[in-house]
Amino acid sequence: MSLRDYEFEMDFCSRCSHCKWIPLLFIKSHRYANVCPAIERFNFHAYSGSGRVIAAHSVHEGRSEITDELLDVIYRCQLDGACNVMCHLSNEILEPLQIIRELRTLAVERGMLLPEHTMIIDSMRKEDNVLGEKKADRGKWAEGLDVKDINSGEAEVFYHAGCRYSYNQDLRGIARTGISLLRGAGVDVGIAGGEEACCGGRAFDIGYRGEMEKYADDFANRLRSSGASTLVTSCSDCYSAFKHLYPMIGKKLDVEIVHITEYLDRLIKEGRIALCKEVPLRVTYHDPCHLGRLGEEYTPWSGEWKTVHGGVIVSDPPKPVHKGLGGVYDPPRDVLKAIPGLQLLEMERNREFSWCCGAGGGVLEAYEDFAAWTAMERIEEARSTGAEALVTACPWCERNFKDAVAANGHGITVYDVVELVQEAAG
Amino acid sequence: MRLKEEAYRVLESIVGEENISRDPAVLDGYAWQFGCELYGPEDGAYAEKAFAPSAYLEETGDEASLASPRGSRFGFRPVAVVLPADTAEVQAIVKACNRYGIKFKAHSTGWGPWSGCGTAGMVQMDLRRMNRILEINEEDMYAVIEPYVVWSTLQAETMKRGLNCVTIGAGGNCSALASITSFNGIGYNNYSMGLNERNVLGVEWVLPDGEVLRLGSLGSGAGWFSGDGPGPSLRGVMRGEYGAAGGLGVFTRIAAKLYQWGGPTEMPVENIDPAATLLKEFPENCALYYPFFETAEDRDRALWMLGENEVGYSASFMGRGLLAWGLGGSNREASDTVESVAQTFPRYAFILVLVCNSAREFAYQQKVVERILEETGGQNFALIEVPEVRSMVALLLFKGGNKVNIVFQRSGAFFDPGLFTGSRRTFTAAEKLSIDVINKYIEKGLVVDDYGEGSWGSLFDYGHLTACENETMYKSTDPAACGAVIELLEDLDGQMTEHLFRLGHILHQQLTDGPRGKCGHDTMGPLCDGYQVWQRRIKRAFDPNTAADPTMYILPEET
Repeated sequence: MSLRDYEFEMDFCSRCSHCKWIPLLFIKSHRYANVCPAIERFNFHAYSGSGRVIAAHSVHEGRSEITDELLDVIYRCQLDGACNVMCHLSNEILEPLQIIRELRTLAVERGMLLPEHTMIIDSMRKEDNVLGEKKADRGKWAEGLDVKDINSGEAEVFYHAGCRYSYNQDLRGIARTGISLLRGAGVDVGIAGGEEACCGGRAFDIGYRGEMEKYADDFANRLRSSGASTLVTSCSDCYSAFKHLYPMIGKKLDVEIVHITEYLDRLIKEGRIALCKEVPLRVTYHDPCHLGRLGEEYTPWSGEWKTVHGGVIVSDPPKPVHKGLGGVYDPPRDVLKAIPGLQLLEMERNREFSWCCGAGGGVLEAYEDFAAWTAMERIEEARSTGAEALVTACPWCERNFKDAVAANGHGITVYDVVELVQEAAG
Repeated sequence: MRLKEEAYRVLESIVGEENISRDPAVLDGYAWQFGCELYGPEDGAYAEKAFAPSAYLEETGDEASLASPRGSRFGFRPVAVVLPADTAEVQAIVKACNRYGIKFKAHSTGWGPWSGCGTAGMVQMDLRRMNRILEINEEDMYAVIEPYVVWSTLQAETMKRGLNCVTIGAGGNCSALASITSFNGIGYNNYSMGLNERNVLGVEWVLPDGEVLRLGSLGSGAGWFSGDGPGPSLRGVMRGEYGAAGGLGVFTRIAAKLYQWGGPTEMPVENIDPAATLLKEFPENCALYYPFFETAEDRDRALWMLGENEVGYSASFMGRGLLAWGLGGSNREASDTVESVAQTFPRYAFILVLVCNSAREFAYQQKVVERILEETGGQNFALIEVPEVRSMVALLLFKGGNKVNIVFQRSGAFFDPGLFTGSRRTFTAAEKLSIDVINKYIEKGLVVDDYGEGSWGSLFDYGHLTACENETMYKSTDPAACGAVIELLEDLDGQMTEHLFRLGHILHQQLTDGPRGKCGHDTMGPLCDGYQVWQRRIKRAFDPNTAADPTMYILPEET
């Protein structure tokens, strides 16, 4: 795919700016009505979903070039998908997120690269991870767990930790806890350990499409040979790559794909995990973009647009419109609600129109200050609910929130859902 | 076209490096506007030829500065975009533009061709950073706001306090300030709150030469509470009926009227998909009616009687064409609705919402409504009992709504050639005329078939005036369809004016003629008491250097 494939779609932006706000009927305050960090921080229309589509259109038509300034516009965006959802609520033709991705791919093809992003790609090519860590250290997170190695045997459930949980010292415990909870519930689970590799999603997001294709093929082979019928991951980024991005490039995985929060919810409801210990805490839940709106299963479409009734445009066959409705929203909440003593408070921007943590799309690596600003906006919103803790289900969100809290001294604790389950399970 | 370095650096020094750009792709974010597909180089001379060239602009021969051909939404590209943070910065930008002979155009939320630059070589002012609700005065019932505050957030904040504001049919995503200072449009609650233009109180206004003028009570240091005094009252000059669409400078802060609100402080809904959004609970002491009638006369009589009795919060009529295209999520579903049931929809109907302060008032208003419907033969349109439809219509009336999904989703574009404002007596005849004229173009297959019944509108001030927009959807990428819309606009404008239903369709004359170097006012004005003479005098008096983009207001010289 390329921008050429979206020539028809790009004409259908009316510049209504709905991509800048949460759905209007859901607005509760002026303070938390915005949905897109980039336009909120940088203000030029080009930083909105609409503006990015227009910029792509302009570049595609040869009206403008990819300059250094435009490169900043292109990459100061978490690709959180909020604009896509908001647009699709009233526009079935335009595909903002796809077009934004194509513009990134075009930038890479033209050799307009950010050095921080080339480092990510170098790291992936040499060490199979996005963090610049050694491949040899990949499996250290699971040392001493005595869990099945799917490289040498089969398991019913294939657990994928992801780069962040595998390497980040502060967060490794969450992956280990996840495995312990699964095994404690009698789940036949295996891991790839030191042989696990990146999902490739981050490479796709920053415009290096071919890199993800390679990882998708490799992952599909490993999964097939594991004999697993279910793939479980604790990383929302990886979840989105498996569920949303792989089908987008025609590499849909032929197993059930489940986030750890969905699996734990299932186990709790089946009585296989008992939450007996009180956790007296007021918490608010942050929907990771990649688990929520970008965790929706992607359904490819190939068809044509027809004009009927003197100008109305219809898709033939009917085109699936991704509105984020199929994301994972209730399972993590249900898990939290099952914890005795815990009080769950909602932020104004949640579920399909959640505010991003700030880390995605290559922003954390290339524009650290923007990532931190975005996180602080969310932390303020979390504090406004009266919550003592911000709970989420993605290592990228957790890392960014923890760093922002540490840098700014805000008194709110950041947890993963898994950590609270462990505490309640005793 | 390029802004010379010296002028660019001066603008940069005002707003800071982060808040100015001349990157072509960034500028194209401002050149792109719906409606710009209606005109192109093939339509004739550009207005820029009517203006004196600035010594601070360099001709680069870059075709991208000019509007693209019909069917493309790239209009005129500005030479720079600036993002001022406050009135002082706006004033400094305006003064710099006057000094360098550069024209400027300000926009708030910036949706529509009237928001972009009317010719090449202009500076675009994006007021996005001015986004504060400065005060909500519950006692004197007004809100002081900056240009980027939108109706939806203002309404959310006021409802929390038992107050409410007027809205606009274009949607809660539109700037509240721009709506009531600079444009003309209909809101669903104009019935009980009056036209948007009547909802402006104190005003802070940066004139086209850079002077700051404060209108109403603000002008005499008495606060924001009144638009007409003590202090200068220039409401007619400032905006008149249509607003100057940026042609008379920049409004930087205003006070908007607020009203007592008997409804709930919040209206929780579920499901973000507009076709499936449901009100979690229908508010207490509120009701929704969707009656239909045998004849247009019966419908109008019922509406007038409701207005005379001053019952109801919102009363609007909606053509069956617009309703049919508005139902259903996807375009395919909407097409199916139109094909299968639209013609069974009642032709003469309206929608009414009651919002009452007490059970007793509610009972009274219900009795009045039922009595009026009995006398006029109004019957209940059963469709309104479908939960999703009921929620959609109720929320449209309660909260101003969002028409985008209806008028843009289906074909990519719409225009409202059949827009008219007038007294009760003219309403039915004007609506009929617009239906007849639009149907001629539907028959040619160049605009969307809605039976010519894409109308919606409202009574103002409980029926003192009425307004109607008869929307016409068209395929925005089809040059032939765009040409047909221009023809339709001119055709209907002429006929409306001939029948004296209104002062012609001036804004759209400006929209289609202004970028082509013509002036619609010079066609319409002589038919309407020569108003264009006075409008031109105002423009010259307030803007001696023609610094504020005149193309959507009035060109300084007769064409």
